[in-house]
Amino acid sequence: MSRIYVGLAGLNAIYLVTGYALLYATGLARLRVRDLRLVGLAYLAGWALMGVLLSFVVMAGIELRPIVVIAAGLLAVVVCAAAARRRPNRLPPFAARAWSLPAVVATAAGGAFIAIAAVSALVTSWASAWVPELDLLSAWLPRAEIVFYLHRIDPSQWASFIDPWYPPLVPVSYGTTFQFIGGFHPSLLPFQQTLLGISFILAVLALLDRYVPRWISFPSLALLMTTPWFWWRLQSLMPDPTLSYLLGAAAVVIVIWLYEPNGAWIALGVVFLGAAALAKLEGYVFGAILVATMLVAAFVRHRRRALPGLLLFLGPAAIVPWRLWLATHDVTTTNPDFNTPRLSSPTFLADRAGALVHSIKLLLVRPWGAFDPTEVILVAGFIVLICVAPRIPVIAAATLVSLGLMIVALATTYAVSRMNLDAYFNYSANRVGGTFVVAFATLAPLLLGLALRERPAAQGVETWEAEPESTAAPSAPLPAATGQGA
Amino acid sequence: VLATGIVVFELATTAWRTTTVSHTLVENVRKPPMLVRDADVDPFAFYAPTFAMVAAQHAVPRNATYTIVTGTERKALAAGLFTDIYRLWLMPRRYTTDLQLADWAITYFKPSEIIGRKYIEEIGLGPGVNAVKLAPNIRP
Repeated sequence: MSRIYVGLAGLNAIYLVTGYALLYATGLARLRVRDLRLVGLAYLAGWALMGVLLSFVVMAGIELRPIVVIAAGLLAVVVCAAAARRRPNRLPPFAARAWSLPAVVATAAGGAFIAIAAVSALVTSWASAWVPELDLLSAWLPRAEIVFYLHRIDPSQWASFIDPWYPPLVPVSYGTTFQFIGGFHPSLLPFQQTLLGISFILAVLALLDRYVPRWISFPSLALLMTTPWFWWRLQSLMPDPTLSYLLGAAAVVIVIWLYEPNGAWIALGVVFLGAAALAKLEGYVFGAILVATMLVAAFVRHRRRALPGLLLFLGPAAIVPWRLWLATHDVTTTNPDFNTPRLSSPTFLADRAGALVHSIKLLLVRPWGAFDPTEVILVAGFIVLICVAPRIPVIAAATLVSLGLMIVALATTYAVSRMNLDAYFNYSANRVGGTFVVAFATLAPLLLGLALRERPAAQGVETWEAEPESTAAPSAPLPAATGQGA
Repeated sequence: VLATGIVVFELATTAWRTTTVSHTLVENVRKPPMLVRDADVDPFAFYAPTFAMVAAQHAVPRNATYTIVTGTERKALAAGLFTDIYRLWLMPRRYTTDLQLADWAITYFKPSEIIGRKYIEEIGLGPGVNAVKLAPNIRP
């Protein structure tokens, strides 16, 4: 039994150390006591970075064993330390915050709700039975066992389970956990997943903290955290919640980069997008849409200073080695539903046009009917998006377009499927579509915070070092924002 | 004003939701702890006797190739779901759909005598579930 707990602690320590190394390399962390506030961001980033690295390790044919995991973690730490030494990156210092009693009360209430929900989720994931969902039994867990027992991806075993084209990060992550705890114990995975979900919330709070008053960010994230859709799925072993964390975090850092171009955000974005691409096919599609849309906005806002943003495409490109591995090992590379002859047929596309419209309608309305607080998130998000548009038009438009295109992309997936549309939708939509809700819930407070910073300087309210939305010319840094006034 | 309105609305909704979350917390704190090995198989108890799954792990050698043969005498569990659960539980043993290539067969409500191959050993795993060691195939 002690092997299990020591193994879990050891693996989580590796994620944490790797994550802090990445934050150190990007200049976000200085490895001081106050960097403890970045613990969630460090865990999420470390988990994503290790997931990508270990996926590449198994694709390269290297046997995945605990010693290899430790070596990969050490390698990541050394590379990050070397990068920090050779090309140190600096971010603008935190702005001083004024305080007021209502702001402190709202922040404290939001924090308390988040803490209660987090403790409850951790206890529930430890004490309750894990949920053996159908895809979990027939695809994700067996593949994790392949990684655990065989220490590699055996092509014939891998292809003997459904949907072999799905990328390997989640099975590799679960298989790594089994190796560290010394056995196939699916009942312990919900605890790990819950840790990941809580780290996501803490990561977003830390990321927003630079730009958004806490009395806005804490209640917003508390609402997401306690939403039934989100809270119950914290312990789900399906890859969809993981995908929503990775894409949500990626969306936040990319919007921040759009506002304040800095290499740190690009580095984090590449890691989160890479992990999302290797977690599920939707991660690669949604990630590419997000990067393409935000890059267009970045070129509008920053002209040539946006060029480094092209590096963000490295994230979705993480899928390329996987496609090569599939092709090299004669494993089916794509879902037959998306074969080119089928999708390029005009008669087929005309035939499915009605299904596409139906899918979009379902996606916008149906999945959230049973979850009232989710509708609150969506309605509040739309109100925020409309209201901030006059102050940060480019960022608001880019956010709306990227989320809209993701919804169309997902609806297309349902529309072209051979499965019965409504049955497929009922099984999958609120699981996969939840990614949009998470992205919306995390982006809404960020947009609100950025809009508050964009108030005219003549009124005595300050902006960050980034230029105002209305002009592309660099502007001089203004005095620190209070971050508390609405 | 917009931000304040949204925050008040969010806090009110969150407070309402937190009552449910807190109830769940209290319920789970009161639950007796479960051994990890029991917790691993516990969710399957809803579908089938879990002792048959655990017994199958002991009966079939780890390096064996096995198949699953389901019958129609009784349908306590859908054949597809039975196969998924046992394939998951019997890893890293190699599964094949071809009875002729298998060393062992897990039979589910199917008499061992009529599975289509001779066998040399039958181990009862649970109600309607057997592990059958198949006789070597004599190939021409």
